[in-house]
Amino acid sequence: MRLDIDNLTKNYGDLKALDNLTFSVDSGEIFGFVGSNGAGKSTTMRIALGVLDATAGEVRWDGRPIDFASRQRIGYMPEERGLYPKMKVGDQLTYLAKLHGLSSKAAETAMEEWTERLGIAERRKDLVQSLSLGNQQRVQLAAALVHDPDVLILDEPFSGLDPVAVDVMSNVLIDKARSGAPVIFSSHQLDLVERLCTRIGIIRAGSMVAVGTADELRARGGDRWALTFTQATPNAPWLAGWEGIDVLETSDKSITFLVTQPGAQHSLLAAATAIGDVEFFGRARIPLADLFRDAVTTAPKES
Amino acid sequence: MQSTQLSSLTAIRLVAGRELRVHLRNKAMIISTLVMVVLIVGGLFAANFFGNQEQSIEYGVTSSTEEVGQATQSVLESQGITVDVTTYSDEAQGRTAVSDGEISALITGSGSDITAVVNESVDSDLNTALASVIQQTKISELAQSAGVSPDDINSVYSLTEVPFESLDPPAEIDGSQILVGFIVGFLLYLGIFGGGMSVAQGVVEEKSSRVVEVLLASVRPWQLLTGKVIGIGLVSLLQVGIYVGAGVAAATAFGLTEDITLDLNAIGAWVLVWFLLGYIIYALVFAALGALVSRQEDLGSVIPIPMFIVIAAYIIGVSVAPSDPDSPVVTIASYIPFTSPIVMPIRSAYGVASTVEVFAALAAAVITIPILLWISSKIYSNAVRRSGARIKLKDALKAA
Repeated sequence: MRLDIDNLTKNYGDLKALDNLTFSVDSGEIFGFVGSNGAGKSTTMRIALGVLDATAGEVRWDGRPIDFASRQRIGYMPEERGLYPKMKVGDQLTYLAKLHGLSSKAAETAMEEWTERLGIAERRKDLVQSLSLGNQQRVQLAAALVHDPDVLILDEPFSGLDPVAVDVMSNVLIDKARSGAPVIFSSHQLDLVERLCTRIGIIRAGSMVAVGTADELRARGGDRWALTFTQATPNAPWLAGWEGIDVLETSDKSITFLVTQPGAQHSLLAAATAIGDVEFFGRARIPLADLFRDAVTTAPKES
Repeated sequence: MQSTQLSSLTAIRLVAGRELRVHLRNKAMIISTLVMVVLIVGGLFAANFFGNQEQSIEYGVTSSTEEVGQATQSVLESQGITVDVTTYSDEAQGRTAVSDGEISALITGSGSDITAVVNESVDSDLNTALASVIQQTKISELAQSAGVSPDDINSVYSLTEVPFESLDPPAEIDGSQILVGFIVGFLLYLGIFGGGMSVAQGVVEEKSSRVVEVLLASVRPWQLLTGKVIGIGLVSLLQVGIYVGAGVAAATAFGLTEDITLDLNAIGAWVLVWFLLGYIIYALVFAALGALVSRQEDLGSVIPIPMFIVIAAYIIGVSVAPSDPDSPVVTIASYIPFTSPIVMPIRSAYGVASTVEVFAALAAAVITIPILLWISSKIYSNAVRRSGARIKLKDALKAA
């Protein structure tokens, strides 16, 4: 089973909120959706849920355009949390489960299960508005899960959660993916995205600028290496130009560079050992944040 | 865990069920309903107490004033005052009775030379009655001395009303009809406006809390709208039913129904019918308008027009209709579906609307509902998913 977002375009008057956005999420995948504020993440999710209509393009589930019936099988957490503030937690979850077609009994059981699992069993009889924001968020996640959905679409599920709640939420997403559901979530917490997601999509101004596993995205950043001396070495060899090497960053002690001609890094290492004591030499892991920054600032806007 | 797609009926039932539960558990609503029942029963009790309070007067006469006493008694009794006359052969005994408070006055003297012996001052009803009797006696005496028969004089006195010929006879409305009309108008105004406002607030609550986004992933907008209108409608119907029931029961228990010709049960039933129609019409209008805004504070910017119409209907019903039930304003308002649910039942209570007229107004209201439902669900569906600034009605109608 697979969720396809195919060439979605959404116009608000002259503003292009989405511009031929395309990606897909397979069964069992956790897809991290990252991008600046206003890039179109929420718009995409809301179109998938039918809360918004696309100007063009379509969302397919299992190869068929998603319709009202298949949407009932999605678990959705909107960016702006949506719950009845003056309704009890338990009643609310049972109600939402029933709206998704569960029988009264099944809805009650599912409510009990999820409140237990998400650590809010004690609050079942409390009004939603009396809960802390973090707990309201757990209720919101329970609302997305209570009907045992086949797909999860969560808009910033981690924002505002404490580390314990982040772990609970992460485990739920992992379990859900293991049971075969495609899981999509958006987040600005890139470390979390990197840790949880099987694939990541970076969106900019309504278009996907990069999609892939974390390693694939890194590869887009080139073959990045780093070299560090034990102590400051001001007349380091990289000050001169080297063929096959693009210097990214330097300091008195270290250098980060891209290798454009395979093997060029070894000549640099040889030169470095000749003038100083090398502490570290090897491939540098690019922080996802850098990749993200690159992607959203340097990628040309396609239109 | 098995989950299947909901049938429309199930979705509507679930939404309506939630509204019912939430509103029936709402303490503020339960309290205000109870307060209203107390006001209705208390008001009718007060009307009964003050309206039926029997006035009575006790006075004494001496042997020489017996005739004057009898004439005064018949004048007082014609005003609905109970009279108890005691004759004292001994005037001193009568005076003691006055000072002891057994009687309020002792009529002494003779002929037309009468003095009322009282403790402090003369009861005003007795004073008026006695004065007119003395006047009449004196005029009779004068007439007799002038050679006119006292009977002729009395027949002149008996003329109290000018005979008239009416070209456009006004509808005859008695006090009890006015009271019933007023209560009917007030209950309908309260029920229709209150129910409509609940719907508008419910729509905005779902929008402002964004829960509508979660709901619309599993129910369609029209199902949500219909369920909400039905749920709140049942609650409001129950409320109005309680008011009507309390009013009819209290009126019957206090014996207020004995001397009125109105069939209170029938009027009560009509109130419920008109309430339902009026509620549905206004609930659909209020739901559509509520969907245009995203915050409760903004509700004030969209509801003034329907609010003004409901209030106008109420004012026409309770302030124009009692003084001039045949006025064209009242008649026209009793046919327009937006005002008829309040004005027509008042006209019925006044007995100035024929059955044909009532059914014509009913038909007009019933026909309006599907048209309104169509327009309202279109506006609601388009507007309810869009949060933020107030949406223009024109845009909500246009977007499809």
